[in-house]
Amino acid sequence: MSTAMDRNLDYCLKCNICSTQCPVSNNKLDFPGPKHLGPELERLRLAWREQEPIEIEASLGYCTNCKRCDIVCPHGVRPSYYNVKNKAIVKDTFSHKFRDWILAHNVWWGKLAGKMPTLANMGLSLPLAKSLFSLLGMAKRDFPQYSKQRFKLSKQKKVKKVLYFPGCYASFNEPEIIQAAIEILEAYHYQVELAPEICCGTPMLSNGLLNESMKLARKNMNCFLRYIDKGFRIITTCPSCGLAFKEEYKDILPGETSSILAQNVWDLFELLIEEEMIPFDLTKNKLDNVYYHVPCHLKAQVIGIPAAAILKNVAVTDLILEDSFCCGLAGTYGFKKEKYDLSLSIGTPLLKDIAEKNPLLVITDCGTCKVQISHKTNLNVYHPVLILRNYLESTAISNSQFSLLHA
Amino acid sequence: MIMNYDVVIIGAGLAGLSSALAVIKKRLKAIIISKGLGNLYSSSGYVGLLGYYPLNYTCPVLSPKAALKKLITEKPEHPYAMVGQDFIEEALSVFLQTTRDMGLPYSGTLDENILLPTTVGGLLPTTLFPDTSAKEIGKAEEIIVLGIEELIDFCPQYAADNLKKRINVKIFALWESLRINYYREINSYDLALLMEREEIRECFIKRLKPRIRKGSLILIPAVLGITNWCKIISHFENTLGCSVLEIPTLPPSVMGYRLAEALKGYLKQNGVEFLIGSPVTDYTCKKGSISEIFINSINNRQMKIKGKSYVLATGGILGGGLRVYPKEIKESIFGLPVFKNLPVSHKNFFNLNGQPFAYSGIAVNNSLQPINLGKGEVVFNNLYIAGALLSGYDPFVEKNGNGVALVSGYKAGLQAAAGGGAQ
Repeated sequence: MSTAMDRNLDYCLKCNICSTQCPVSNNKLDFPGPKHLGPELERLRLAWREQEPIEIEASLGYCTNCKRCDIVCPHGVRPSYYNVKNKAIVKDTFSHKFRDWILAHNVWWGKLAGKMPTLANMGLSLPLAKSLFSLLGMAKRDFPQYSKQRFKLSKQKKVKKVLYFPGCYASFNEPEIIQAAIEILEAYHYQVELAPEICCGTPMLSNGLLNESMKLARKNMNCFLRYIDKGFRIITTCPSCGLAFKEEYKDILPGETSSILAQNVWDLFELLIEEEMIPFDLTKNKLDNVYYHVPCHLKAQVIGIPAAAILKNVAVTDLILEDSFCCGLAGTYGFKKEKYDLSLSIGTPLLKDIAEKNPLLVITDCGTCKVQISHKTNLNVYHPVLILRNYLESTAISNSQFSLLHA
Repeated sequence: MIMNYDVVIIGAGLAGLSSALAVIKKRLKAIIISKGLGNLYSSSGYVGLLGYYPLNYTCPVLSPKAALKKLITEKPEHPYAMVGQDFIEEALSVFLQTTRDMGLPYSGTLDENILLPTTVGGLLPTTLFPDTSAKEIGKAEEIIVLGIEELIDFCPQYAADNLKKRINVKIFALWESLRINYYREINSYDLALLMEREEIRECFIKRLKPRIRKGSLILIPAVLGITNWCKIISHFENTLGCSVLEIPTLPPSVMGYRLAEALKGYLKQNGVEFLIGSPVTDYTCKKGSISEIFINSINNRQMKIKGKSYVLATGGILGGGLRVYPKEIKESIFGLPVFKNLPVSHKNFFNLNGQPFAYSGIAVNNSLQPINLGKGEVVFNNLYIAGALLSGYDPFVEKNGNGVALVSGYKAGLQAAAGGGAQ
């Protein structure tokens, strides 16, 4: 892993700002917090010249990898970097490790279930399946429904090319996101191709399967680089996938390849803003009273909230933008039995805020944030690409008119 | 076309937040960009305008207004002289009003400094303080300094002994435990979270009650709640029949946290955007004005942000606004000329008259624009400097770090909002 980050350690002066912003620390007092688990433990490890095995505290498994500690540090230290690295050597029970392994390979189950979604959804809802999952150490939570993938993709060659990486949630659970993203990109005259791989490796990384995630990262990087060489840009709509390509690959596989990939990845809305592609008819009907929950991994990309910047005052008149809260689900984290209550208490401030503001609907970029919000509210939760696509449709501007507006 | 702002503020400490207050007052669009959250989180949350002037640690300033007038005439290069008396007063009243609106009311006036106890038992001359700290320690009949056994970094005996040297009141030190068992070290923020829980608080107060005489003033490290401090402090006061005064702790400082979070929340509510997590790495300029700045996103791709004016509030040496090299001090973003005062006296490091290097920083004119050291011409027309980056003062002995940040931030914000220079 990266040695530059190891040196960065010395900037930690233990001010503890990271701990005050850690969603887990704030809800679980015996969690030692980012300062201790990150730089402090690493210092200890280095002081022993890494020869003496220091037992990594099992509580490290409670880190959600939300990266809030990274962005708030006034001195540029990234505690999550050390956490991810050390998670791989955390000691845990066999049954937990087995359960985590199952969750980390969600993409396999997704591929399987995606072939026969109706049957899979039915199977997952059976009491027998539920008790089996409970035995495995899963929380009492509904898994998101599986759907069949069906997209329309134009074969037309264009100057501007993008490789779209939808990620596992959109691929298996909400393919509408993929279709909407394709339509938006095509409307802006991009030639769109879909990435052959589906998993970015984040679920493995946050479940401590470091070596396996490195293997997958290498495979993904080689594939992406071939496209980048041909002039493609890599586009994501899932904040966690975006973050993995932009930052985590650089951490686990430092070098030229990961740097080139990182620089060629855009969040879809980030691309639209950078290319100044916002041709809108401002007079058309807009949504009102919409709540935007900013996912931690979007915040961690430090690109602002590009989707909000586009939708605000255009597709939505009264956007309630909230980036203070973590939903608490953190990918596979909230699906673990022993973390279920904690996951909900982390999410409570967000759920309370949503209830207070009483919006018409909720927007969020992250599939698992949606799972948490839907778990505890009756509101409809949409990915911003769906809102933008619907808005574009409602304004009934045809593709050719797009270019006119843009010109 | 979207990352366009009226005022771009670099730095999220008190100076940066205060300049954003000025900008929203003018109903303009501001963004605060910062490498991380500011050092305000580690501060006491008190605002001292001027603690010692002239520098004599036995004579704290009791009337900041008069002392300020004297300082402004005697030291024309001091940030306060650059800000000016009128702006100082305006900044104070805007800040006081804002704290009421944001639900963390502060009081205090320029006419009076009150002396508030520190974690080692010193007395800090303070101009503005949270309403819950409006207690006169010198007038108490009896003071109890209460230590909490689980809390690191606070020793009541030590604080009490030091206080005894300063005030003529009966002072006792007392330890009490929360009777909680955690295998890790507990800091003030953790304790403040615990105090939010009524059952824990209730037990603690119950054990405390027989040991404390009614009517005394209890000094307790600031751990009385993250969000409900008002309720928690009155819970203590009502049940014990005492008055309770919090002492700001070493970082993580809960009092600094409360102020920082409340200000940030208020600004967000009023439309200020925050981009926290990446440093500003580059800029372009045209005809003596800054046209745009760049931040390095996590993937090393530069992101462009444009403003009509810019406020630079990146802090001093600790905040990272100034970088110190063996024979040089550099301003870290724009490479502005730095007024250097390098000698450090190692013989008497904690010199009560201050260390010369503390006066280093960016020299500015009356509009807080950075100037060249020789002829004094403005470096960038649309850049304004605020906070610890300014030269000409020593916050460590004058005890005015937050004071200078607040008022210079406010003025810089107003100047930037007015458009300044080339606009």
